[in-house]
Amino acid sequence: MDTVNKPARRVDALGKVLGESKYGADLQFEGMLYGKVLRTPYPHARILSIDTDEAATLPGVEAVLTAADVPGLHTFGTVVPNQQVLAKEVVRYLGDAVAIVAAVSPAVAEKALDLIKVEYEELEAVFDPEEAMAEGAPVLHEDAPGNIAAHHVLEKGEVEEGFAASDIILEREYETQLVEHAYIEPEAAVAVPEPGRRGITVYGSIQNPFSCRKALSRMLGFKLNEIRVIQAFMGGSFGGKDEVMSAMCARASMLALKTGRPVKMVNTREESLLEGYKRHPYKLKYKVGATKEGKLTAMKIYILADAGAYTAQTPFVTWRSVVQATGPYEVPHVRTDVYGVHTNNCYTSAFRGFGSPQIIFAQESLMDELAEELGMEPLELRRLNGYRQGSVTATGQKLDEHKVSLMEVLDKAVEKSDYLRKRKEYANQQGRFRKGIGLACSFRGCSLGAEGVDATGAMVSVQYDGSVYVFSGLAENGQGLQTIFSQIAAEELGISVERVRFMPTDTAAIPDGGPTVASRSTLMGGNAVRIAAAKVRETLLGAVLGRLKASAQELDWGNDRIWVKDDPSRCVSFEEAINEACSQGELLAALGWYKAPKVTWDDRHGQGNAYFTYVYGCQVAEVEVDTETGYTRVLKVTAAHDVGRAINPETVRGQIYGGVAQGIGYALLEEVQQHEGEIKSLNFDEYLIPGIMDMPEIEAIIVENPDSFGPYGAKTIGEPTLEMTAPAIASAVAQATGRRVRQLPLDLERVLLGRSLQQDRYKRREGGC
Amino acid sequence: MKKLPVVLTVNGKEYSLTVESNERLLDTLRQRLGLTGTKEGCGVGECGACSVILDGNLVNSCMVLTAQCDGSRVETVEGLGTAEKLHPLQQAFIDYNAVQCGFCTPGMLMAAKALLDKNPHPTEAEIRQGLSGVLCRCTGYKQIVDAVKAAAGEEG
Amino acid sequence: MLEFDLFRPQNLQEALDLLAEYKGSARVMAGGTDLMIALRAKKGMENVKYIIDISRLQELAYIREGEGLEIGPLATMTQVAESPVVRQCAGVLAAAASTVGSPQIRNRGTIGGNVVNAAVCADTVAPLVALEAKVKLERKGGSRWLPLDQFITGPNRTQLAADELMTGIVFAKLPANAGWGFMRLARREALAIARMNVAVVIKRDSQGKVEDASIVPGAVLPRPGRVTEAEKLLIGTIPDGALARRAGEAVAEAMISAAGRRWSTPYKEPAIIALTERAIKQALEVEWR
Repeated sequence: MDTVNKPARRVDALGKVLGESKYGADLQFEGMLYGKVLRTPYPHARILSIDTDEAATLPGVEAVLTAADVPGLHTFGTVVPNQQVLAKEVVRYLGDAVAIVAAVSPAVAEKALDLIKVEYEELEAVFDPEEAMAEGAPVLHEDAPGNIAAHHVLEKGEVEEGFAASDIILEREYETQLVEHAYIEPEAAVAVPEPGRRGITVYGSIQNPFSCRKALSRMLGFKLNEIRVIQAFMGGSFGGKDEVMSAMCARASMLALKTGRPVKMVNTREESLLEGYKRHPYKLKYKVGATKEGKLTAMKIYILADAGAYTAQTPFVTWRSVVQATGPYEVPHVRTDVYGVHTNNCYTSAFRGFGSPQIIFAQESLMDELAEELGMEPLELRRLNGYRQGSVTATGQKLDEHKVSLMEVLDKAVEKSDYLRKRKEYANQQGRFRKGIGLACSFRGCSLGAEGVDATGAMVSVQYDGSVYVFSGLAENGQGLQTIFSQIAAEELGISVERVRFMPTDTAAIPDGGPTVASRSTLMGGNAVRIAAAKVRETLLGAVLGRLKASAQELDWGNDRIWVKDDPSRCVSFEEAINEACSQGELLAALGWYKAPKVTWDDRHGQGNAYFTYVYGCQVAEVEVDTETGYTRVLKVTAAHDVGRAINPETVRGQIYGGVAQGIGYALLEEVQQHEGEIKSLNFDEYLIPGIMDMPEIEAIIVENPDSFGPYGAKTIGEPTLEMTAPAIASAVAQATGRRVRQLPLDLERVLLGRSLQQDRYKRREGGC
Repeated sequence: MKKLPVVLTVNGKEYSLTVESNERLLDTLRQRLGLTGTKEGCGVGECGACSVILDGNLVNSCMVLTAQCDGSRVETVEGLGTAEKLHPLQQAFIDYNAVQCGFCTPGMLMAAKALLDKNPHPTEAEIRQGLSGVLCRCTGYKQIVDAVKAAAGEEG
Repeated sequence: MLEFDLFRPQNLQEALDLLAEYKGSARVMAGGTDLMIALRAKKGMENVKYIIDISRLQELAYIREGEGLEIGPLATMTQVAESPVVRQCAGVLAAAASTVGSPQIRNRGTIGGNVVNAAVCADTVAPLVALEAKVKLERKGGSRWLPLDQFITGPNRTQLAADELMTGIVFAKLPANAGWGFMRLARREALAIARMNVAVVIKRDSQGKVEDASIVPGAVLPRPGRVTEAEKLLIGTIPDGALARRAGEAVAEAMISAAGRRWSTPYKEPAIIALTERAIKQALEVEWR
């Protein structure tokens, strides 16, 4: 391979270091207006009336719209369309919008918001998932009795028999927190009406242009081909710029269509934290049985996820949880129930990890707790029960179509981190500052699995002069997809990456290839690019057969040339091949379409081949805890990840470093404070993410076991990188302090006292610090 | 609101402007001068995406009123280098994969430049200290530190 | 962003004239690192119509040696942290200033702003109180001096009148026999408001016996001040670790007796004991880890 598996420079880096790349908020159009949103002051209320007259007459205001003005349906949603672009009768959380304004400046638009008068009738609200499921609780959506947004069951074997056969049973409860994506770029979009015919073009920080287009079509009452969604440069997304962007784009579009002028909307950080969805907080009850030798016999799991006000992707998020909830361990008897429950809290949806960080925190903490009960080294417990080639998962899937590399990633991470020696060294410490080391591992299903249809496309178009376009239905969110796809196209065509130009993702340019989620881009989109580029290459080879006097099988290509394997002096340049093909009237563009291999799922019992392939990872964290203040510093993280094949080792490392940083935030710092539906941490002064001085040394270990389905064997790296950092840190802290914390994050109070004080603060209605 | 005259030198070019009393330097750069390389991430001086160099000092341009800057020199990412002649920091950010989404990149570059202007051979701890006012959510910062180290080596 | 008219006085006299004229409807902007946030949020700005920008008044940006150390209110945190004379004669203050926010915040934020804003967690306040600093307040046609611990009357509350401007901070240089300690606890390494801090200055005789001690916690008491109960424990002794801890306990007791047992007390009580003990040890130049 000439280009793939090599550290190519990012193709989008130049514009970014020059400050020239245009993000959503950077876009300017002639005659552009600015849109602003009025949101509800109550988490659950009936809207009695909205008076927009005064706002509408404010000089500089061009439009004021409410739910009554929505041209199509006022709701949208990928699974259950119950999310409101503008609240019609009832508001269900404090991020719900009731009116929108377009004005000549953001300041005038904001003034107009103050002039809109809305009468509400407050309704009983519910903020706790358990209370929301109880009889008599207010029901948020008629079609979700008991406020159940999702319920997934998994049954394997006979769980009670499993417990009966065990020597030891452990029951533990864990809790994870509400977490914000905290992309540094707040949401932004510009909608531009199409002159002369019905149509709208929307630009912005849109993670999933096709999902956005579908939502817009429903809300605007437009045909799909009347809507064009073009992605601007994205200032990070991590799963977070989906539904919230569909709502923003729809609002901007309505204002633009109403006024006939381009309308820009940009969230402040506060608006972003207020309205944008977050990662689900989970409450997890685990019961595990094992023999005294440490063999797992049974696991019973009960999970409540707070879905907040709207369904969004809760059914999918919780589905991944049910598939992976036992961790990468052979457990003969399993019963799992995962519920997603509506409350009047901020809604929750996709966020890097997608239902895995929560369960891995619980289940990997549990493994360490079980090991301690058994008097075993946690690593040994994992080696004893961990997946090996041919293991059968909790969903009954036999892992035999890919290399099951759990033991390999464990061994590599353990060796590089010197885990065993340090584990012993830190076992008996005195003093105020104590160190600890912990590990966690995971298996992760790649791409969408049985969540839904899984296929995607790409187009490769070779130009007369040897330059190349790549169009993809999947989108660059900062992760490096453009570079990976450009490398794959270059590899297949045998040319240098510099010839390839990746085009912005545009719904009018390429078929709907599904969303850029589930760490599926390299695997799915990479295959699509590879197919497309290979088709064009076959055309080029076919065109020069006569000239080279050889059959296609006799040809080889690379370094901008095509030659005869046995006689390299018989060769043509890439340009010559193009000329030849053009003169023969051949098409030098191709659409590549890749459909994922078959997966199966039995909803009733939670059994099936949930994903067509999996990745394995192991992280070891070393910490130092100030035992008098609870302040915890991460000293080192060693992260071993099987990626199948690293298309670009440098960007893989970038994903690992960045994912570990988010994992450290999840472990120690990050928690959106929410009380009775009100988000208290509305900016980065309250919502703390790791800074450059908080980051430890990270050793990234790339493990490569090429997958039969992936392009060049490549699989997945985006999400696994953050999902096991928190439990590794939690176990390291437990070793250092002698006390296990079962709630995230392990902030100062939880590490020092074993509990958070925030709820006391709200109960006592005290301010201050 | 009172409007005020301001003379600003931005990236070596002088601008005579009349600005609103409450206009932030960030808005002047982005909206009046079209220099959208400087980003807004939080508006409260926490994320550092809006960092520029004001009279030789690194500042958050969201925390400064333009009218406070009469007679000042402002350096933004646009003044750092060109596609033909990149600043060593820009080149290093490309070479070391220090850019992912790129939204923090201008702020990081300006923070790094302010650091190297004063301390051409910083230690890793000094680099981290110097960049500590800019948040990044993508990279975990490692490749950014590597890039600044490399650029410092080259400049020295 | 709040709408207001901005004034740009060219010298101190003009600033005082403007303050005399607009009093309660005006706010003074120095580095702006606190005020810009309030203006953006329009919080606590109900009557504000004018902003008086003093950030360019170089005459208030000094750091100089006189009878003691004199620091102009417009000296930035960076200037204070990097000033050789502050580092040598008031190291506790330089250390505190260097922990504020980020380079961007320190380049803009001023010591006067930090003091006048009087946030309970203001990092320079505890060391300045420990140094027994006085502040000069000027108004058109008059001026007065106040000890800093009297100037600040509560969280975000001071004795500054609407027409007054702080124009100087003065304190005695630490003598050669003085040691200092500054400990700060925050949730992360940079860009983090202090959860608590504590500044300690200890003067010892040639035998190592404590002659005088200042122990000032931050974000612990409703208004900043020395904890004399803790100081008394040290005076006349050659303190060991146990005594340093007892002094920390005295600070915690002072906190609880002043503010009661609050939601945060279960955490703050043990933490401030540890921080105080460490700051004392640091001042005594003994290992505190």
